[in-house]
Amino acid sequence: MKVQSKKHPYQHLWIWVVYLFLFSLSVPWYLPKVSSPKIWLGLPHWVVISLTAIIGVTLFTVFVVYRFWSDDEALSKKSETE
Amino acid sequence: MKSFPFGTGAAIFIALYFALMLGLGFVARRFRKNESPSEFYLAGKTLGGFVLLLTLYATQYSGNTLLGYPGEAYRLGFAWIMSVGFMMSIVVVYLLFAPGLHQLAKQYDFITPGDWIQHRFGMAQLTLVVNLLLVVAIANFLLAQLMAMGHVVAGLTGNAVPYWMGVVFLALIIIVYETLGGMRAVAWTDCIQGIMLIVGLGGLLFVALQTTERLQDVTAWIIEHEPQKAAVPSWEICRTWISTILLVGFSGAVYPQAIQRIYAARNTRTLKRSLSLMIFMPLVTTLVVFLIGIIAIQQFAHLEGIAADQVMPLLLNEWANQSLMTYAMAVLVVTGILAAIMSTADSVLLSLSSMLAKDFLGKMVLKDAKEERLTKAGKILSWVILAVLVPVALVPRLTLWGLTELKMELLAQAAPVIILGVVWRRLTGQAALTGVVAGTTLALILTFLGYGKIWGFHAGLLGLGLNVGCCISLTLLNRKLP
Repeated sequence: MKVQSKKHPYQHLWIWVVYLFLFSLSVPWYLPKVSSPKIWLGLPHWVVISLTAIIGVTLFTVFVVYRFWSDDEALSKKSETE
Repeated sequence: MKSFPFGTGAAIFIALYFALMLGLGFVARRFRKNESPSEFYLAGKTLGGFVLLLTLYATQYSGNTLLGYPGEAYRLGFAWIMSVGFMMSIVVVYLLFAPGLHQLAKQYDFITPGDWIQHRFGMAQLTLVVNLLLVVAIANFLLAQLMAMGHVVAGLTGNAVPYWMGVVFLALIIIVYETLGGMRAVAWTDCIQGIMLIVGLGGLLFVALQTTERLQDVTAWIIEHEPQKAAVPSWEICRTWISTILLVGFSGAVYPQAIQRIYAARNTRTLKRSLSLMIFMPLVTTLVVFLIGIIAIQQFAHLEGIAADQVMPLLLNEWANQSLMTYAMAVLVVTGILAAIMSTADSVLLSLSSMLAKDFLGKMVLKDAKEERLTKAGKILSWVILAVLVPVALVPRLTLWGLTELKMELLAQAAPVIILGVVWRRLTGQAALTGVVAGTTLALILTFLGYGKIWGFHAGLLGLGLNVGCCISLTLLNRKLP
């Protein structure tokens, strides 16, 4: 069996599951619909929760770019000849 | 004579900035090695990390970001924090296809998105349909930038310089430096514009903190006086939020001008470095303009429709009259806003002219023409495009955000062909063509029937769902048939 090396982020399913989780967390669908929110750090509490998830997306993306994106320029030539 | 709140100092600063843009156009012209489309439209595919980051940034953050978004935060309230997430989703979608597409572009010398589609599927019909879709969508986007030029100039000068003059004058500056230097001029001016934008937004935050006691006071005021703008968003808003993340993510990532920057990157390492920094930009750009819109809720009342897009200019006018320090900061912000609009407009214009010249003229009229002739035709087309769009921009009928949404409904339909084409080798051209036609038809029918959103989900996203469904099901079905 031919094992194909994974050179690009799209080839790792778990990466997209993590993104799904973080973006889901950034939308406050799961919070009780209160009209007078608490104030955290000068903002409504649900805005702070959303921002935290968004910062998670930022840090995770930096990790993915440097860990799961090969900068092997010869990759496409190699795959074309296979 | 009407008052000009930013005075002579600001006028001189902005005039110098315009002169610098034109000067860079002249210098970029001298750097051009030849008249080939690759050299003119992609700067010879040699963009380094710093230039690539700033040109991507300046291109992606537009007049709509700085004028439309504060207006939307003003109208919607804290739920507009969604703008930070959906701007980030564009970079996340890049990770799906940019790595593969960059390598292919280097290998096969792509110049336009149409080159990739033709290379991948070899179907002239599909390439034509997607090109038409992209051209209509980004012409819409360019129109939004032209309108933003008029709004910002009129708003910031207290109508001393009328809307129409802002549109015409800034469009002229852009077309001159772009004709002179092509992508190299656009990328270099984008660098200056990107830096101006960052400095301007830093100044904006500084000025905002100067005039607002504390963010907490603003939030408390909104909770007390306009509680619906601070409440945990309703289910319907949450659904629209999810829909916007997906719609903006997939449509923003396939902007032709962004795809051409993926092509133009010097190498993979450069592209990686740029995208890993781009992911931070919503935090230093969209978040800041979101806060400006929130501050405006307390500061202004009773602005509706197009008037809410004037939130930013109105705030700057107020700050400019408070002290010398806030005046200086406001001037920086004004220049930053102009920079954001111009940098997006020049990139879109260049991309539009490259597609019209290479994918339409080059394949239908100038089939055997030399590369130099195509480049020259593209330059002329840039002038023609502006000659058509500027008069349209002089009659604004929609809010800026409304214009952007129409563009996204269309752009999203090109995403499956471009993205699935990279990540799924089995996708067939026939399935992709059926998908793009079905998705676009559904999105347009729903929009024209007045169903821009159904159950909170955008018509464009529903079209995208149908589009992807057609791509997958027809490709799988095709393989099963004998």
